[in-house]
Amino acid sequence: MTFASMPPEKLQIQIQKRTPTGNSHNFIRVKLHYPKPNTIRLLDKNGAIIDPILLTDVNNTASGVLKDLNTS
Amino acid sequence: MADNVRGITLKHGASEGGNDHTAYLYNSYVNAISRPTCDYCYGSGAIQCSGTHGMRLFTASANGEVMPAKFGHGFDVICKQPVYDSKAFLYDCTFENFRQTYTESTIAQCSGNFAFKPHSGAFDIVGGTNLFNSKCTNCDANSYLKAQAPSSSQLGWFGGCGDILCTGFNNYLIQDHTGDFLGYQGSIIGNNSVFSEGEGCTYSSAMNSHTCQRSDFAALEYQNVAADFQTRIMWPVYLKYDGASYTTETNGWREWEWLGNEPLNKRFGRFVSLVKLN
Repeated sequence: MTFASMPPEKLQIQIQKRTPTGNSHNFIRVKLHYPKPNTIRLLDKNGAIIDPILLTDVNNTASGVLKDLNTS
Repeated sequence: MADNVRGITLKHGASEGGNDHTAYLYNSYVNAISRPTCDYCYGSGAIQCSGTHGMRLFTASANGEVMPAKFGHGFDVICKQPVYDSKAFLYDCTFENFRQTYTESTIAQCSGNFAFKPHSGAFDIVGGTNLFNSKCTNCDANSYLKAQAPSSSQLGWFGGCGDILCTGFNNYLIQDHTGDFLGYQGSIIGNNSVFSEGEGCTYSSAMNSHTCQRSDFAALEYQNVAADFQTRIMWPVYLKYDGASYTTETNGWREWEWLGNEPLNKRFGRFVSLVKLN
């Protein structure tokens, strides 16, 4: 299943009953395809970690050395 | 019901929010031409016997009309958006004398009669119809369903379905679960050549429909229930199963919200598509 844009954040889905009580043996598996992202950021280059940009992160001073956020 | 241009309409109104809207019809008899040996009963100046249909298929819409204010043809309208889910079950019903042509000299002028036809206002959803121990006697195999195609007048933003046609008339099934109607357990699929030909069904130009000696089909109903359920366009929706040679395209509901003569661009993210079961 592919929507023309971002799929619904909450999707209600059902098979229309073919008998008044329905039939539990009637099923389908739905694969929901999401659209391609607008940008892809590289986070690992030749084994070196490139930190993701986090506006709240002011503690990391070197690439690949991560500390807890909002602590000092 | 005998000799009516439209024998039966299945219709009722419902409130938004439900997910199980069902119509039942039991032990009923509908005849297109009840007196085929009568040489003065039908034709010009007598009872209409061409272009009739036995039953209008079910579509539940929000806040349907009420009796007796809309007694007569006014009751049989879809003037609010169809709700989520519509389906019908027919038990022990008989349809009779629905044919495209008649060889009897007394009714040779009669033609083009169908057992089933969708509601003309069911742009978004035509309820699936499930037949149990129901039959069509003295019928021909091209007279089960008169399936209409979506109208190009529904294209566009002004109260329409946008850039592609509304797809309600493409995504419904009539399924004979006991084999009494078709002569085999199978399905009738109206006006959907992509799905029907992809599944190897047989076309009838008279019905604008396909028939299939299979019952492993269903209508998949799905809708956006997030906060933007009526304000964000996410259609068309494309469906394809692993190994399939075709992809179906489904539109959202058409525009139903108006302020006077202005559409409010609040289309429901609500969909019905045909699928093959497991």
